Amino acid sequence: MRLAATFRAWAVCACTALLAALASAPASAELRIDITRGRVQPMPIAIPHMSGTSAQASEAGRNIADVIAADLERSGFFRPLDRRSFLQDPQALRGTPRFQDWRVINAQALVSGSAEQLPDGRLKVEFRLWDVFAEQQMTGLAYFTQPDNWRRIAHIIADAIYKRITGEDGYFDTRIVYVAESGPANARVKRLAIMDQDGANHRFLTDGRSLVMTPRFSPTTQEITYLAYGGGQPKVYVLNIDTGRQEVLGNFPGMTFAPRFSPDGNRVIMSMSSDGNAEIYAMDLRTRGVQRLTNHPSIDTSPSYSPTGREIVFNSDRGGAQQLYVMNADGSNVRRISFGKGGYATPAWSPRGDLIAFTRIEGGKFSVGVMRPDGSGERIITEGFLVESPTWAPNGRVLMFFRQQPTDRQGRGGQSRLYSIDLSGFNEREILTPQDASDPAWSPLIP
Amino acid sequence: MKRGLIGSGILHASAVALVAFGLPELFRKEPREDVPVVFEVVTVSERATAPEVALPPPQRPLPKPVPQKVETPPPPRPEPPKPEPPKAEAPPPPPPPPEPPKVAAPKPEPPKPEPPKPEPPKAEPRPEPPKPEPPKPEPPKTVAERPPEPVPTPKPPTKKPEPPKAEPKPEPPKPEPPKQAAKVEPKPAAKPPEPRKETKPVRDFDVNAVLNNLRPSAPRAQNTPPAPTPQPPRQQVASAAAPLLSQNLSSSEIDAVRQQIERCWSFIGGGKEVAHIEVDIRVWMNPDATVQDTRIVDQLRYQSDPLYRSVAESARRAIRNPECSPLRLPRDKYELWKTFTFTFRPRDFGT
Repeated sequence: MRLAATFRAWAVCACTALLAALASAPASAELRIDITRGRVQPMPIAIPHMSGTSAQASEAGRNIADVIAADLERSGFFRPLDRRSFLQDPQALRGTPRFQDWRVINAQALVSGSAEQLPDGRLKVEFRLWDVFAEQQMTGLAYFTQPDNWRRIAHIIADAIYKRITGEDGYFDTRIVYVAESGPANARVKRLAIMDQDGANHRFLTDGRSLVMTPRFSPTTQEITYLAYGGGQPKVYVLNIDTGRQEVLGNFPGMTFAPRFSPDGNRVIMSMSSDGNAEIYAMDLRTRGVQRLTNHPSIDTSPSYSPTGREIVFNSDRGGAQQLYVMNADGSNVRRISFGKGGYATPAWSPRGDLIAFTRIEGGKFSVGVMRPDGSGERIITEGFLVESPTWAPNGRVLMFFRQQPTDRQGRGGQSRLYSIDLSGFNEREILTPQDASDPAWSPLIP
Repeated sequence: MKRGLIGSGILHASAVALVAFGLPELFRKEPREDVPVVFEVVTVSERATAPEVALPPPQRPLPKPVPQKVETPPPPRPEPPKPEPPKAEAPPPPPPPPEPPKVAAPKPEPPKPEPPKPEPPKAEPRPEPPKPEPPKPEPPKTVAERPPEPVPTPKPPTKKPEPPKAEPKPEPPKPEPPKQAAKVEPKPAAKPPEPRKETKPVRDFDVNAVLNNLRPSAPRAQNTPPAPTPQPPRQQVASAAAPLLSQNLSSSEIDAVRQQIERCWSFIGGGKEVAHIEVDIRVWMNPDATVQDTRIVDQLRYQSDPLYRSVAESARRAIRNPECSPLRLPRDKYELWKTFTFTFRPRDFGT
């Protein structure tokens, strides 16, 4: 009896185990293919001339398309295709494009557009960005402006295309202010100059009678702050680009250097030197009240706000060599973030807040690099005999700096030029300026 | 006691048997079979390229161009009457007369040139006089043809072997030019061997002509029939072997597709942020391994996150890129990859 019961128990257990085993047959997994690698290469994009309803509009359409193509190509991310290979002409693109014509030439995106002269004299420009493979419109916008302003429309459209395809803000509708240099090395004439980021619309802002340095844009207004040696002593000035009005920021006892705006545009932070000791001060532009931020016998200079305005990076030699430090906006919690050999100078906090660019000098060689705000992840982007003074594009992906060539014994050489470079270290390009150039500053997107 | 002994003995015996022979493998998967390499020996002639097939038809046409010049076209053509009278004066034109029937009425000068040149253009544009493209490929061919044969066009109607070509005549312009081209091809007595080859130089010159020539299937239709014949036996062999094949794609097959798409995937922009992004794209495939449809699975994020959208669109471009189509999938396992999902992870990209 007991044995039979035991057997039955065993049999039941065995059967259930067997059933369970058979029931849990492995489910057939659905096919899934992982792609984790690809190629980094510029996207082939077709930007035909925009069609126009009149001769003037057609010319504007041609110029706008050329500027858009140049902007996108300069970013290093796009490869505008040769217009001679296009099968459809601009008039035919007024409706839906014939996508197979564009697939044939390997265009992955297509920009079609038209320019129209309105009766009230304004120019109407509209464009559409097409995904050629998916045969869909990605974005389409229209702009109205004065005919003279067609360049800005082109830059704005290029920004819209850049943003739609890469997901990041563009930087084409911006300006560069810099110091234009001329003359022999011992009698340099330095003038403030401003131009579009592609080098167009260049004009001088000062006449060169007084030496100027370190111009910086206001993030909110059309103003520039810079250093000028007027009357012997260097002073910080604020210049309004549109009106040309210029004023001294304040009469401080001593010398002031390296001014920068705060992100909200209400304050200017700078370094002031007296009795050989340079400290960092912040001045409120509305109240003209001055706040001292550092208090240390070392030289503290080149301050730069973080995009939140809550922190400041600067360089100081309080540790024995020129290194980078970060502190709170009120001057508290000073901490060192760079520890490499040589010296670190001219820090600039990225508008994205994730990186700080700097100039590094080691063994007589200059380099421009970036590091995270905590000092980690230091990476050199470019180097040379003299490369200095990095400034960020408003999208935090591109840096501009100036590069100076060495002079030989006869005093030849010594050219100084502006260059832009992608954060990855690729796509370094020279910005053409009429004279030598140094100390560039990149404006935010023009409002 | 005895029963206990027997029971215990049986249990011990089964335990020993288990140890000796192991558990029965009830749910062992079938061993994955390697795909048998199916091949069959075929002679070269069976697999020869299609153009050879075009040879027979040319023989028929040829002879008597002269008599046809006189009249000819009217019978085959629906509205030849009008053009005919002018034709009578110009001997060579006969070929053009067939086409111009419609066009000739407005333009009373079919005879004007020594036909070879003007004809093809007239012929083509029948429905659309302005359309220049179709004629383009024509003239060179017809000019070439001319010397041997003044009346290539009328031939088609008379010729049996080209009923398909003859039919399109009354029809729309589009198919016309290519059909005419096709008709012209077999004609050339002068160059029987390569009706095809003649067209090749034309194609090099004009991309539009190439595109137009690609659309109509009639000229191809002739060639395709012979081609498929060698294939069916092969496919039969493959399908006979199907029951023996594995139920999943092999990893090397998946790798082939992966490498193919990686070559086409190019993503620009983005920094560290893209490292966390994963994009799932579901694809529906045609039996010839081209993509029928794609869908980005996470539509909510696609609409709301610009960086996710740019990665997703770059992934979709990679899948739809003509350079990566068709995918390198085994055609005989269509059921396995009729629909599946790609997962794109750009973590190895960016700065």
